[in-house]
Amino acid sequence: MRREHPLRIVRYSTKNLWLLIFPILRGAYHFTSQEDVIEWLQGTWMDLLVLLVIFGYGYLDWYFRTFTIVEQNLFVQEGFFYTRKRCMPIRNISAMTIEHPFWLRAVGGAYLYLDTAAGRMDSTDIKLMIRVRDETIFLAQFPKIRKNETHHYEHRVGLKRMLLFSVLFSSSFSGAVYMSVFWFQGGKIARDLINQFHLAEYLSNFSAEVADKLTGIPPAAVTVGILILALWIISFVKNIFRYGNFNMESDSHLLKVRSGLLTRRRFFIVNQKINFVDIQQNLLTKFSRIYTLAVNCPGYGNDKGSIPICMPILTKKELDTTLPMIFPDIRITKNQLHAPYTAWWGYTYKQLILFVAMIPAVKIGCRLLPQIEDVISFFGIMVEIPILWKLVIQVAGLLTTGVSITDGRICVRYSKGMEFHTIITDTDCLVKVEIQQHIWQKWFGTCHVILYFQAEITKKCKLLTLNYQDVQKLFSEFLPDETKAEI
Amino acid sequence: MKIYHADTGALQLLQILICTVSAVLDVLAGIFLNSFPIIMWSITAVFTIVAVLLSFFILPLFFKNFCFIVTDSKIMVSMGIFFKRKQSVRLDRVQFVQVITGAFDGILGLNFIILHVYGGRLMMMFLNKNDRNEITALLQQKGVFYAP
Repeated sequence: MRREHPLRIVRYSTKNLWLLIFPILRGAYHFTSQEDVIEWLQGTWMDLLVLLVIFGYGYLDWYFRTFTIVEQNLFVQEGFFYTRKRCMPIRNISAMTIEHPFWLRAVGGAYLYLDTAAGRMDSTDIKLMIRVRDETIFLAQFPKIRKNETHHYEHRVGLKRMLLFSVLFSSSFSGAVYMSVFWFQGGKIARDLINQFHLAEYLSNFSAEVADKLTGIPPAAVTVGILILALWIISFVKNIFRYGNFNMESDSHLLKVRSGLLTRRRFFIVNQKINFVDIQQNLLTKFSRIYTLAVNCPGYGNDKGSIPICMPILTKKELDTTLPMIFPDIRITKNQLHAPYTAWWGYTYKQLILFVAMIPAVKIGCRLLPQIEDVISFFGIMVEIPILWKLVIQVAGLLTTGVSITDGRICVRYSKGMEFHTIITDTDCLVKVEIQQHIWQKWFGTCHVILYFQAEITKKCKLLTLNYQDVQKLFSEFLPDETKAEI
Repeated sequence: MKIYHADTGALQLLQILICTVSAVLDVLAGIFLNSFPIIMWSITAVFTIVAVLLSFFILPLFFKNFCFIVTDSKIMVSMGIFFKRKQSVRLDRVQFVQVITGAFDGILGLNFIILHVYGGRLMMMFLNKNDRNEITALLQQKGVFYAP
């Protein structure tokens, strides 16, 4: 039986930090009542006792948490009053992650995450802080990648491609999410730093200076622009640190991914447990025919904001040669079923209505508030840009959305949000087919199709406005034949 | 096939716990709401009725209808008072197993076995020590659990 890294004692001790309230209250009482310091010092045995309880409990928690691998089963036991035993057969593990944060590397520690297809959704089933020397017992359980195998593939992503990937997949939104986490978790410290360094003041002055130079753009718009850019840079830097030094190696059994600059991560993904392959593109990469290869596997890419990447940047030619090497059974097939061009309204009506509605809305705004007319006009234009962008995405979606089923494999192309996805997997992984039909769709003989795939978190793909008869034919295996139904 | 029932020791423990909590709350209501007799008696009555209902009607009925059917390939849990609910999992679909043992090696019936399967989990609650050992032995035989 082995134990976690001793540093874990600190983590377990923090659970009882609330007990510090007693020494704090005692100290506050003595200092506010102006009592003798000697008297306060005489009572410090109680404070020491509280600290002993906090760290003693942490130590006991650490001491009684043991793990071992026996007979191809990982066994984790914890607790001393209530005991919890967890047994995970190694054959059921879908992904193992070994994480080396820079601060833990110095003390010879690492985090280990083990996941199966079961357990709580999008959370790790077993997480341990192990000593680096204990890594070997886990690594020994996974087959080594066979370099001389036909399907052996290794690729190290260069700096230029990594920068390109970070540029393409950075967004102000993810930067804002990161900043909000920093803001809420760092709380007072973050606010104090902003106050201390007069950041808000600097931003205001800088915006005014830039606005002076860019005549016609109001300072408020410049401030918003600077904030969006700053958030984008944060997201970009975060991506660089997370996906930098990306290396992927695979054979027919295992997919091994290494990435990270400060925090190094190694992912071991069992090929058989991969639910589906997801080829992702955004509008820019779609036009430049660049692809990102991602996989859906329980335990890989569980963290919020992380993408379960297999290959970050691939050209069309590279994708055609790489895909069969990594996933021998996976093929991209042409759409057997796609949206008719007459369905353009179904794809674009939201953006068209919004785009047109913005024009009178801005004009009314300018009439009602003439003193900030330039600000309203500027933001009106700024809002129109993403609407127009989404409109182009929807048009591209109309041209590419479709599905094909051949030789027990399904290939689905669809767009969601600002991204395009091509999902390829076995038809066995398709767990549910839902057909939605509005009254007017009944007249035109069309329908929406929602496909649900086997995944830890429900993965659904919505295909808009397909021919109802064709859908019935293609998904006959999944849909009941209404004509043969007994009444 | 074998049918297991929830341990009555756990039922008695829960009954004692609920009655104690109710009594403590009644006493607290008596102390702090002494000057508002109507509110005090109303709250005391509510606590007492809830405790009596829970301890002597709902919990015994729940424990009576709570059973686990263990076969060579499946485990089924049946529960419910007014609405019966049955859950069943195939042992070959179990991904990992969690065994929680209460104080003093679970002699008070506080033993839980949780089977994690695709898309959910099945929880066997309030097992007695012998039943826990029997079921874990079966799981070990099926290769989904191993305790060194």
